[in-house]
Amino acid sequence: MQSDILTVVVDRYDPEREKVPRPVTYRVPRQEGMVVADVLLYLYEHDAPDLGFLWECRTRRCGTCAMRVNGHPVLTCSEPVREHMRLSPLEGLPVVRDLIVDRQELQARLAPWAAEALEGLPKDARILLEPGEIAHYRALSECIDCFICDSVCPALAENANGGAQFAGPRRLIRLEAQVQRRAEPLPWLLYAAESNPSLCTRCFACTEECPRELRPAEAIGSLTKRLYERHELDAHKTSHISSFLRSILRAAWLDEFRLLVDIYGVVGVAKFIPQALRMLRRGKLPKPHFGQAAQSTDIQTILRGMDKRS
Amino acid sequence: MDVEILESDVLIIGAGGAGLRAAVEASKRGARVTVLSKGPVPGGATSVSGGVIQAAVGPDDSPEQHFRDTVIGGRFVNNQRLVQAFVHNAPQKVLDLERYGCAFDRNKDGSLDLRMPSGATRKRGIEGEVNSNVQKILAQRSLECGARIHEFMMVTRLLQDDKGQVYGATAVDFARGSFVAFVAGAVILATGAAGRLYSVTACPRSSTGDGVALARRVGARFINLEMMQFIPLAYTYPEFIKGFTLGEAPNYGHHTRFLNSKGERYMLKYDAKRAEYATRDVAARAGYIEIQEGRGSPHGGIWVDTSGNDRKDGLYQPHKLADRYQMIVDFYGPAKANFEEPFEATPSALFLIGGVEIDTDCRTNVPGLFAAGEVAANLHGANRLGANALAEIQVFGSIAGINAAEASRVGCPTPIRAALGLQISDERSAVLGLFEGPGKRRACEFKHDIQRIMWDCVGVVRDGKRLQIALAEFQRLREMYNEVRVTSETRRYNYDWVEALEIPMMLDVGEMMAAAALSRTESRGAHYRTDFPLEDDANWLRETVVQDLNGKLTATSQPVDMSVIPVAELQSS
Repeated sequence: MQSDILTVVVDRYDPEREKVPRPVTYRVPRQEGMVVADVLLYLYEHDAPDLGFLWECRTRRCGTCAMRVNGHPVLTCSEPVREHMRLSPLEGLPVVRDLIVDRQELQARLAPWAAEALEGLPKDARILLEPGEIAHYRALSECIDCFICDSVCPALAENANGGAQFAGPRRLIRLEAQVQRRAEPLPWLLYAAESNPSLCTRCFACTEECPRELRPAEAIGSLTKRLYERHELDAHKTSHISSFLRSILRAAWLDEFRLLVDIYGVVGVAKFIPQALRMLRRGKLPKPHFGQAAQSTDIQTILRGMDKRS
Repeated sequence: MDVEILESDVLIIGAGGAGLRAAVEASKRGARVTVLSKGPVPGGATSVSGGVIQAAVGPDDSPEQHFRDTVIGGRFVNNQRLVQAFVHNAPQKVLDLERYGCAFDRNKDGSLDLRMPSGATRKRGIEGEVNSNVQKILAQRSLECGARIHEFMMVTRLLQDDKGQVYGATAVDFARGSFVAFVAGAVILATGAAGRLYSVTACPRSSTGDGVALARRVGARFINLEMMQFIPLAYTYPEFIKGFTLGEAPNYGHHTRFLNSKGERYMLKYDAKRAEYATRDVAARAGYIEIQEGRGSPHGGIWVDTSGNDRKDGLYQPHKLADRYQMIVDFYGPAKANFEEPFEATPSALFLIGGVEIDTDCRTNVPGLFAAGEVAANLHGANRLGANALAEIQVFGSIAGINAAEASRVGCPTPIRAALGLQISDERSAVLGLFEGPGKRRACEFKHDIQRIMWDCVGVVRDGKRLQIALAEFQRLREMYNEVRVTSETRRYNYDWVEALEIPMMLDVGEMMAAAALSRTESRGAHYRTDFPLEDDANWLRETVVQDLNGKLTATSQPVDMSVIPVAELQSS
């Protein structure tokens, strides 16, 4: 039996006044078919007039209502309620107030390249797609900027630790769409190269969580491949991919020793000796393989097939 | 007083399809453009629209045929010069979108895959893009052209010199919680829809008709404001989605049945011949009457029985309406989405057909003020054809952008700036004053009252008595408005504050709509009065005109422009 009252814990937070979020419990009368956004509107009209949350379109088009329900990122406009809920803002993004995260200024969000010098670029020139390509293009271009993919991206979270900056799935899927349609895609491809798509860890969390079922992880893979083919990746990354492919095509297993030599050169590999000794001591050094892996023809056929398809 | 004042050549209020298209065209012509969006981008009515765009591009089609369909559909009270400009510009302006990055459905031979929008006699509907995407692509294009777009910027007042010329606007920056002013050489109103005036609507949060209210306060003239279009079918629950469109009978196939709580096919009473396939206005009205007279479904709708339809029927096409189909699955369950069980649906406020009077250059009667899109009139007459609005925003957005860029070259003269400063500081006090004072009532209570009054009295079915009640109620609410206070102290993203600013605007708009409806003593298209149930061509091939003259609302009428094809000829065709 469903109860008539829902218990909702909301992480209230004003970063200008408080150090950490403060969970507040509310009770909300349940209605048939209720979605989480109904709960937020009820709280706004009754118990919490100052509750910070955003909504606009009501139908998965604007992306502003994304937040976490019991830790899981969702669009509240179409998320059914549950008996016990904890509402908190998306993870990994600066919180503006309560359930609102910083979605950035429109230009940074939508067309960051517009800030760069675009003089003389063919702005209106687009290629017309074949009917078969249209669905694929739409699957790249229908992003609603809900920021869910960025919020679950471990590579993006690493940015805070310094080093090369990863642009994140949200920006990269947008760039891949540009590259697909622009008659002269080079400027967008170069822009993509600066976004370090190769830092993607291939965890697919973005693709799994996308509320519109887009595939940012695949788009990042495609961008990386384009950059590799155009030799626009840095030397390390290019050698890494080339060596990886050679290894699989030759014997269907990954020769990690060869990989290191290909990337860093025979001399360069010397710096890995202490690490290798540590790994050896803990029994973590990969054992060398020889000859072909089991089912090697199958693996190689798949790889060649993938290459042709993409 | 310390108010940030931002300068530009062209100020565009609204960032839907019309505003952004205007931004593209004005920026291309070298104007410095600022666009203000009340909500996020995408957002507003463009983002939730159906996504079919009408333009005469088919091999068997012509602008002439598009003209005829539009005026016949509009029950002959469209401004024919606007329709003429519309149908001739639509093909080019719509196809420009592909150069900007949209991808429309095309056949194997490269031709556009067109569909037949309701009310059209030729295949003319271009589709394929989710419309939030069209909006996003236009925003991207505007930014690349150098326009500045500010989100969460609610305009509270237009700035005028002593001769009445408009030179900018004041706004609340909802994201930062501050008050801002914008000075510009020309201003384009592209604020779109007003569906939020009703308790049941397909419109998103921001659609409270602000542009109509802003224009009223600077003396603009309004045409056919009684014409509010309702869609026959919309969600009855969840509450948050209530009113979001489920379309009309043809969306589900050739054998859709509407049933009341007694299981009767009530449409046969209202249109024996076409029944469920009657025009939108008739179907919406019939459903409304059944519900009002107590024959509604448990959630206040009627039943839609789709079981006679074949899911493979070309009209339903779940693969093309994947988004909408998934919503039915999520909210009503797969059995209802798959035609195995009837579902509930209610009529819902969709589109404000009337609006600010414009000429074919998108000029209003107020100098310096242009208007385009849903806020403007009178392209659609008494009934808008499906898919015409998305083409309208491209055509008239372009025209407004081009002409406003030209008009802005003079700029705002320095002596006038001083006078504007006074208006800016007045407005600032009023806007910030909402946080103070003895009032106790919250704006959302007022909002529910207005929405209920509009739904009951200025809704699908009207009569003189109910319209008078609405006017009296609005007067009462106006007098109570000083009781409104924003109760929370926080300024950033404070919906309570935004709603407090919306209330007087909604009252301004609702009052004019009721006044216009009272003045049109006939029924035509979307406007239906039980005390005048018939079309009256002898007296009413006219436009209603409402104008606020120094605080006094006047409702008159004027002959409709029929300079292209005489109505008699259209009626006989």
